[in-house]
Amino acid sequence: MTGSVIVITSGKGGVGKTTTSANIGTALAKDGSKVVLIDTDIGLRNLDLLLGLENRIVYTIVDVVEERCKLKQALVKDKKNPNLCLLAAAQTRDKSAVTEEQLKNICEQLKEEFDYIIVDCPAGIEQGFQNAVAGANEAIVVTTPEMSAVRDADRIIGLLEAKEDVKKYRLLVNRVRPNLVKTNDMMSVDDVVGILSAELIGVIPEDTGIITSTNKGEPIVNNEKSLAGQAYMNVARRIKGEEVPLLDIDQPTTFFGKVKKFLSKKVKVSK
Amino acid sequence: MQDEEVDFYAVPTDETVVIDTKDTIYINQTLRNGQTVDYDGNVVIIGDCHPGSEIKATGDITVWGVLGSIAHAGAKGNVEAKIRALKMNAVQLRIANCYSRRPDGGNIPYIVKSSTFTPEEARIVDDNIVLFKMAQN
Repeated sequence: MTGSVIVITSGKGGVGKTTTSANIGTALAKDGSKVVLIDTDIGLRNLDLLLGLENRIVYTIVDVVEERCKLKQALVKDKKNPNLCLLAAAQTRDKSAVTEEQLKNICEQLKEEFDYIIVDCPAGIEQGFQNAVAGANEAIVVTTPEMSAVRDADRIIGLLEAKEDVKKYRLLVNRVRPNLVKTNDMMSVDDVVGILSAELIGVIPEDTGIITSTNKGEPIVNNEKSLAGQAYMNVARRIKGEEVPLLDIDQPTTFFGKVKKFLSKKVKVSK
Repeated sequence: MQDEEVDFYAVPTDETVVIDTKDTIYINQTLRNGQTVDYDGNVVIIGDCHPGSEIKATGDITVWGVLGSIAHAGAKGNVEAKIRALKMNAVQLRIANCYSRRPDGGNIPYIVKSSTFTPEEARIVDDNIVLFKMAQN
């Protein structure tokens, strides 16, 4: 059984592609699948930081492509989960160091050993994006509910639709703030899905825990109390084919808010 | 240049109907951001035109959906060219060498939510681009 190559892309920078890659990869690995994460942001690598594996990188993707090492030697095993591996980007080179053919080749080799190959795409539509998409058969387009991110996501979807190998793409709406949506200061998820006409794979709420998780180098899926972590876990289950209803991300944080929410629930009275 | 709206009903007459002999291309998909159409003839798009896309035609442009981008009809100087859409929310309308832009209103989502379409046609009248309603709602 060959693995599935999923590229996590967005067009816009800073919307959460690397965070999504790290968390989806960790969630899939926790669930028992063999996962490899590939960082294609050569020159500006971040995926290793989010996983806390920066210190363990010996060989990078550029070393593999320039044949200084074998592919297996460049895979870094995750600290906690043996099902998860990272193929890190080189920090001292740039995106011209790898071609589309080379990345496609690497994905083909990894497909034989792993269930999921998650490719973290850099921002933009140039060589970095072209490389990342080269080996992919599926895509997840990450966007935030802001006009600029949605416009760029639309561009990316247009480019993905033109790629024959990418059989399907799904939308992930990240950094949603339900209280701003209520006051009409932020687009709703339905607005975003309506504009982009894409199938939704998940909604991740804004969570300050992401900042701490990045600083610690521990993906937020490991924190079961965090809403964002639960939402990422659900995305992983949907990737595997399970039907999971969308999480209620409108959870009040103050005591008064919680009481109000409890009282607003209709209580069935039995006769 | 501002767009003016005038009520106008197409009235059937006994006069000879003009038949356009220019080539017409049908595009059966929605144009996304960054996708462009450049055609020598008329263009018909069955779908929406997202902001960031561009349509350029030497003839007419007809969008069977929401026109949310830039449309340039009569690109070689044909001032009789028209631009039509089921919902006009174009960033800019250009016919021959006249151009007009959408009124400022912030970066509203390109689909202004409504359950009804309002078909409109843009034509040059006295060197201005004017919008005409095409059917009574």
